[in-house]
Amino acid sequence: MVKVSLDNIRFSYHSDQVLKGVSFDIDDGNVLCLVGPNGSGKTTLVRCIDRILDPEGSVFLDGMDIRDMHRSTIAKNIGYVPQAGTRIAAASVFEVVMMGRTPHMGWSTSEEDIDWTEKAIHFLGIEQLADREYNELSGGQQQKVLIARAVAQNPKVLLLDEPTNSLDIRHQLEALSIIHHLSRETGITIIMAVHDLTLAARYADQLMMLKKGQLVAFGTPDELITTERIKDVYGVESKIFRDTDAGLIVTPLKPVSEITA
Amino acid sequence: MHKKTVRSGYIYRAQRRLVILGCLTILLLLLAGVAATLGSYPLGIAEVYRTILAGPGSGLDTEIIVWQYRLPRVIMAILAGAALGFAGAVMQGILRNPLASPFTLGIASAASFGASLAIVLGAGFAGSGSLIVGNAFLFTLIAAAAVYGLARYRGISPETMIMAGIAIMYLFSAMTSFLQYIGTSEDVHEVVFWMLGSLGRSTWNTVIVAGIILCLIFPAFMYMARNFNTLAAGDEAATSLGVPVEHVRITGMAGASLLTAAVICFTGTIGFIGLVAPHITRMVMGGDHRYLLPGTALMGSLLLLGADSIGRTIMAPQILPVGIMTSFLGVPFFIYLFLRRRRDYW
Amino acid sequence: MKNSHLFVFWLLIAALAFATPASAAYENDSEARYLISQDILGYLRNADQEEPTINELYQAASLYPEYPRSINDSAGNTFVFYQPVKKVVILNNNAADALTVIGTDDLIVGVAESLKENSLQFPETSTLPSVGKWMEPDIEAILALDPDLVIAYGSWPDPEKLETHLPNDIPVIRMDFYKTETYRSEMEAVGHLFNKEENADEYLEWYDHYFDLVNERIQDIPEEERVRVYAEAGEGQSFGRRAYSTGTGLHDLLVAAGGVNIAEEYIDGYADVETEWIIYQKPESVLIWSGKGGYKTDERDLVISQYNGFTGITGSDKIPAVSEGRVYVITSSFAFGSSSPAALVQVGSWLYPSRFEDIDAQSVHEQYLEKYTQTAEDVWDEGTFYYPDGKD
Repeated sequence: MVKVSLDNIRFSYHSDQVLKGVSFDIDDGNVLCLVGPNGSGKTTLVRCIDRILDPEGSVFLDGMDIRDMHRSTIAKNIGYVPQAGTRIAAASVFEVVMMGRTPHMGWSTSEEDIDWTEKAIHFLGIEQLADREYNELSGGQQQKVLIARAVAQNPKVLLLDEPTNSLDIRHQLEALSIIHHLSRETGITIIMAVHDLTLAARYADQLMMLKKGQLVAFGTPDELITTERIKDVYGVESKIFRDTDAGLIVTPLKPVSEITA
Repeated sequence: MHKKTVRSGYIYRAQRRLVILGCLTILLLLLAGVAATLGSYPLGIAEVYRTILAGPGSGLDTEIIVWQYRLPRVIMAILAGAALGFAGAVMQGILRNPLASPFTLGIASAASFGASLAIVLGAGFAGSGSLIVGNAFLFTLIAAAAVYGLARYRGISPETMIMAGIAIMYLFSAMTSFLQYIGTSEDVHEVVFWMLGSLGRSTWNTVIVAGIILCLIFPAFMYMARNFNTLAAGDEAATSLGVPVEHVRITGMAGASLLTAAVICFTGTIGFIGLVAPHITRMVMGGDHRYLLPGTALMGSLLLLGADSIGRTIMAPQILPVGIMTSFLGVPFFIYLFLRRRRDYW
Repeated sequence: MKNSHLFVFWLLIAALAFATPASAAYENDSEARYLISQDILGYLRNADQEEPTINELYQAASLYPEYPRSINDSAGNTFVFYQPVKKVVILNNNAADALTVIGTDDLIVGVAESLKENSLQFPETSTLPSVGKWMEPDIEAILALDPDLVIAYGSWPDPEKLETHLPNDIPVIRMDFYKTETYRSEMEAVGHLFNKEENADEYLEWYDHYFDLVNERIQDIPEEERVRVYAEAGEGQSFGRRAYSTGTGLHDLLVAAGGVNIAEEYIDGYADVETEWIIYQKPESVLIWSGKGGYKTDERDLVISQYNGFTGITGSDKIPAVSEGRVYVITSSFAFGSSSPAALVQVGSWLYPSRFEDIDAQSVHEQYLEKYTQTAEDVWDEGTFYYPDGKD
C-alpha cells in the first residue's frame, strides 16, 4: 500500500500550458477516476504521475519524490496501461504480458517471472489467448492483455489512460470490473482517466474533475456528480438518476448556450 | 490444468527457438565447410581438409589457396553477414520499422562517399587501399553523428531519426554523384564497383579487425536484448516499464553504425542482408531479441556465404558481385516465407 | 528547257570557265568533278536527290584544287567537304594524336578539357581553348570557335549532346583512332580529308612495316611454345582482378604479338576473376593495362604501384610471370593509337626476346616520338610509357 501525492504539477506542450498546477493526495487502495472534457489534461496528468512526461512540480510515493528514484524503481512501483492500438511486432500474448516483468527481470526469464505472467493472465481471464499473436486480437482483447501486463508488473499503483475508449459495452464492463476487482483483491491504488461519467461513478471510490488543466473538484462520486458541476466543467445541461442496480446514471441533455468560466 | 497450458506454450516456443538456433549453427558450419572446397583452383575435398588441418605457413600452392584466399574469404562472409544481419535487427527494433536496415540512417551513402573521395583523390590503387577503408569508416561515423545531432534537436523518436537519416542519405548521395561527375571514367567505374560490394579483398588482417569489433559489440547488444523487446511495445509503455528509451535508441544506433562501418569499409556496401535477414528470422522464431539477434546473425551469415559461394562458382572463373547475388538469393526465399506465412509476424 | 534548268546550265558554264585556268594545273581532281556533276545531274533528272544548294554551288564555283572530297567515318556516315578544312575542334584526344601524325595539328582550334593536361604530349595543342569534356561538350564554346569540323569518338558523346545542337555547316566526324580494326582506315580517311595523303601514306608504311614484321616473326611459332599471357586492367578497376579477353585492345595486342590469352576460353570482353584462378593458370607473362602514366610525368609512381599491385599479391611467387620477372605494365597512351606499332614491337620482344634480339624496341618508340609527335627530345626519359622500362 502506498500513498500517492501530487504537488503543483504543471506541464506545457511547447507553449501550450496543459496542466496549470494540480495537487492532490490519494488514499491507499482506492480507485480514483480522473474525469473532465477533452483537453482538460487527463491523459497528460496520468503520464506525469509515471514520469513518462516530465512535469514541473513533484510526485511523491510514500513521501519520496519520484524524481530521485531510478527509472526501474519507479517501474517496480507504478504500472501504466496505455490505450490499445499500437502494434507490437511478432509477440505472443504471453510475451506481451511478460514484458511487464521487465523492471524485475534479469537477462533471462526466471521461474518467478513466468509465475507472475501466468497469474496476470489468469486474473484477466485471457488464458485461451495466451499463445495467440498480439496483433491478431481485437481491441477489447488487446486492452485486457495490456492490463495483464501492468498486473504482471506487480506495482503498487496502476495508471490507466482511458482504457475503455475503443471498447464495446461488454468489454468496457469487463475491463472496469476487473480493475475494480484488482483494487479490492490486492489493494493496489488505481488512477484511471475515464471518459464516461456514468462508468466513472459506478467504479470509482474517489473522483477528480479537471477543467482546462486545473483541478476543480475532488471527492466521492456522490459529492461531485451534480448537475451544477457538470454544467460548470462540461458546459452541458444534464439529468442525474439513481438506480438500485446501476447506481448513478448521468444523462446529458443539451449543451449550455453560455459557458461560465 | 490451466496453469500448465498457459506456461507450456511459451516454454515450448522458447525451446523451439533454441533448436532452430542450433540448426542454423550446424547449417552454417556445413556451408562453411563446403565453401572452403569451392574455387577455381581445382582442389579435392580431402586435399582441402588436409591442408586446413596441417595449418598455415607451409608455402605450398594448396596452403596459399586455402589459407590465404579461401578461409579469409569464407570467414569474412560469415562475419560480414552476421554483422549486417545483426545491425539490421537492431535498427528495426529501435526504430520499430520493418523497412529499417543498417543503411537507413544514410550509412551506405556516407560510406560510398568516403570511398569515392578516396578513389577520386587518387587513392584508387593497391597501396592506398587503406585510405579507402579508413575514409569509408570515418564517413559512416560522421553520418551517424549527424543523424544523432539532427534527431537530438527534434527529439529522439523513430520518426525524427528516419527523417534525419533520409536527409543524410540524400546529401551524401548527391556528393558522391558529384565526385563521379568530376572524376575520370576509371574512377567512376571503381566507385560503382565499390558500391556493389565484394568479399574479394578479404585477408586475415581485415578478418581480425572486423572480428574484434564484432566480438565487442555483439555481447553489448545481447545485454540490451531485453530492452529491445520492451521497446516494441511503444515508447510510452517502454518508459513506464523502466526502459531508458532515448538511451537505448542512441546506443543501438551508434552500435549498429559501428558494426556496419566495420564491415562495409572492407567489403563495400552489400545491401539486402541487413533488411531481409531479420525478417526471415522473425518469421521463423518470433520477435524475442534474445533469440532473434543471434538468429539473425546466423541467418545473415548463411545468406552472405551462400550468395558469395554461388557468385564465385556459377560462372567460374568469373566472379559475380556479391551485392547482386544476395538479392537473387534472398528475394525468392523471402517471398516464399511471406506467401506461406498465415500469421501476422510484424 | 525550263528556266531553272537554263539557269543552272549557265552557272555551270560560268563555274567551269572560272575553273579552267586553275584546274588545268591539277589533273587529279576527278573526284571533285565527279561529285559536283553527280549532284547537278541528279537534280536535273529530278530524281529523289537533294538539289545542291546555292551555297554548295557557290563553294564549288571557287573550285579548290582537289575538292570536294568525301570520306566515311567510323559510324558509317559519309561527309563531303567542298573546300579545305581550316579549323578543327577535337573532342577525341586520340584524334589530336592522329592529326599530329599527318601534320595538320596546326588546324586545331579547340580541344577537350582532358587534353589540356597533356602538355608533354601536346605542348602546343594543349594551350588551345577547352570545349568541355569529351563526354559532355560545351556547345557554346564550340560555336564560339566557328570550326569547319568537329571530331569525336565513335560512341561518345551521345549525338543528342553534340550533333543535334550544331548547325549543318559544322559536321561531326566520329572516329576513334585507337581501335586496331578501324585505325588504318581512319588514318587513310583523315589523310584524304585534309589532303595530306602523302603524310598519311608515309605513316601507314611505317605502321605496316612493323605490324608485318612482328607478324612474320611470330606466325610460325607452334602452339605449345606460345607464351601464355594473363592480361588485366590493373588494381582499382573493380574489387577483384579484372581480366581482359577477346574484344579488348590489350587482348588484340598480345595476340598480335604472338601470345596466348589464358582467359580466352573462359570469358568474353572483360570480367572479374578469382585470384586463385590466376595462380592456378600460372601464366608465363602478365600484361597490366594502365590509364595513368604515359606522357603524364608525375604519374610514374602510379604506374609502379600498378606493377607492385600484381607482384605483391599473396602467392605471387607461385606465378611464373612473377618469379621470372615477366610482369609488365603498359600504358594506354603507348599501347593504342599512333604509337601502337612501337608498342607491338615492345610486347613482342617481351614475349619472345630471342626472336626480336636484333630490334631495339625502345629506339623504335623514340623514333616514333621524334617523327610523329610534337614532343621535345627528352620526352622518352620524362614519361613512363611502360614498366619496367630500365630507368630505375
